[in-house]
Amino acid sequence: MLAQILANGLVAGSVYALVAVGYTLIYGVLKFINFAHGDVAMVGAYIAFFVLGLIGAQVVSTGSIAVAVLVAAAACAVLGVAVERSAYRPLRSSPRLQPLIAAIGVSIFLQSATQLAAGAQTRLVQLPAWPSVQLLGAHITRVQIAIFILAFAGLYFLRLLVYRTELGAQIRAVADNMELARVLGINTDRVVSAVFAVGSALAAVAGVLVGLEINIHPAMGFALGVKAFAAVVLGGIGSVSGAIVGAFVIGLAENIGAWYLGGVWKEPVAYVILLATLLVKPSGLFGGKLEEEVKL
Amino acid sequence: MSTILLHFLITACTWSILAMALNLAVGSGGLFNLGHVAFAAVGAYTAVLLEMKLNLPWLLAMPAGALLAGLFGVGIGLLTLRLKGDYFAIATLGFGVVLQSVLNNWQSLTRGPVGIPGIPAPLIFGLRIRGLPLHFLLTAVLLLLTLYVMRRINAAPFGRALRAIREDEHAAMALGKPVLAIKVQAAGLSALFAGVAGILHAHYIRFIDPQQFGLRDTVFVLVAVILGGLGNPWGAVLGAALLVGMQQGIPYLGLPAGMAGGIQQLIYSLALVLLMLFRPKGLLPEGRVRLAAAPAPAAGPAGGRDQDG
Repeated sequence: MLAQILANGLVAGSVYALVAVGYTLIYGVLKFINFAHGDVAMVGAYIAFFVLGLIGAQVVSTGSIAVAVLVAAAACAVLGVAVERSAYRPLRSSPRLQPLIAAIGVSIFLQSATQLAAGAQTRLVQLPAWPSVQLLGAHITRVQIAIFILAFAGLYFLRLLVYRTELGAQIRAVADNMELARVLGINTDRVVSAVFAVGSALAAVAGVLVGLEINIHPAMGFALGVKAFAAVVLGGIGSVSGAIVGAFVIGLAENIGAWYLGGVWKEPVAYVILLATLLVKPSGLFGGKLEEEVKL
Repeated sequence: MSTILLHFLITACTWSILAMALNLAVGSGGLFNLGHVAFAAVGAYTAVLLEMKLNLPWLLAMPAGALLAGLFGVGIGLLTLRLKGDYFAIATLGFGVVLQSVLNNWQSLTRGPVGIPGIPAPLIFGLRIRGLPLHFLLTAVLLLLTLYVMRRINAAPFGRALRAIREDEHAAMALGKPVLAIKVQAAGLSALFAGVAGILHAHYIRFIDPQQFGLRDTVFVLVAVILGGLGNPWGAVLGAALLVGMQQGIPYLGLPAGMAGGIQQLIYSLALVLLMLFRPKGLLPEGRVRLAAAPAPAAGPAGGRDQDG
């Protein structure tokens, strides 16, 4: 049983990690909580399901899923950049609460627009009866294995991007000090757009994976977003590796909590961890000292 | 007066009280509370349980519920108000969700998701508050009372100190204002009036369940406050009246079933974004506060009134 709980926790954690890294990167460059990040993941899931419907396979094959994931990631990259340009960029020098309120607006907008376009009901994808794998007494489905592999591929890609490329160096420079980066000739708007594109694409992948493993509905993004955010805060906001560690802690804690306390307590676990981190050590496990600057 | 109009007025008055309470925290204090309706839930559940389990009269249960909501506000404030603005927002959001799941799962006390039906009509000095006209009277009286208190708070030294903290926390601290104490008091007062609104709602609908106190409702109040005007009690009333009007008017448009909710959410999410982009001060901006002292110094670093939120 323990093996099963651990397996489920690790799979959940890898999905949260995909959302959390985008959260933390966006916070890193803009110092702003993008409330709508989880909803972008939800839109990604719907786009993928739409694509799967277009491909029209009665039995969904691995190939059609791959196409759907790629289309969803690309579409959400565009969506993320568009949202940033239209709703957040004009507010970049406004008092701190304004972009946060705008992000809450974007979040509800994406949710209600999806609900109007696709209906409020929960949708399932019909997967072929792939046999599950037995590992140390745990049943692991093919989808769970795919989630694990895809998540690690995504996170590895992100690591290469941030630490091995010119753009990554620019992202780190902007996160460190946007003014200074601009003075040094970095096109900061382009860097911010790139961060939104990459973060949103990874979130979309996570959304599709959740959809394949569980189901999709318009409110799924909110729960996903909060869990990813809890992971980000736990790991230390702004830190990429912290977000990944935090995501696995949340995924495991949730499944262990559900096992010992009962399924109804699965959802609040992430919130309790979030609150406890904020109260005990708001800078998180790996975060440096929080900036003291009060910008109101 | 027709039933529809009275129902609208009662609902609008109740939401106005809730919105004014939130406005004290968000508008005047800059404390971005995303768990506001949780305090309404504390008030409503406390009062209802005191009445139904301990047979307390409304006149005692109502202040007790409001007081406990206020104490929750103080407690949450003490725990979270040291956090910076957006962390505070997330912490209060978390508190709201955790409270909602406690209400859902502490079934021996709250009956969980089934909710509590058959809430008794308030008995005030021998007068049983039943029927729409009397309910309207009750909510209207409490609305006026809340409006009066909010206006007094805003005009008092406390209100000025609160706005000073919103504008520049470090400057307020340098001027010797007890920043944390003032913020905690504001959070407590805000929660207390949220509790009042929750209690009114519970006794009007006569049924409560945890679903009525979710994040969706907090966002609804937040939109009312931002639309009406942050920091202006009248703005909160106007915003709440407009939103409740829209909510109750949409069903008459004859949209297909299931679309009304989505359309409403779409409208007010767009309103949020557009207000932030084009009119962050809302329909009725916070007026310049008349100070007794002679001319204020020209806009200096500490004057920052033109960049408030």
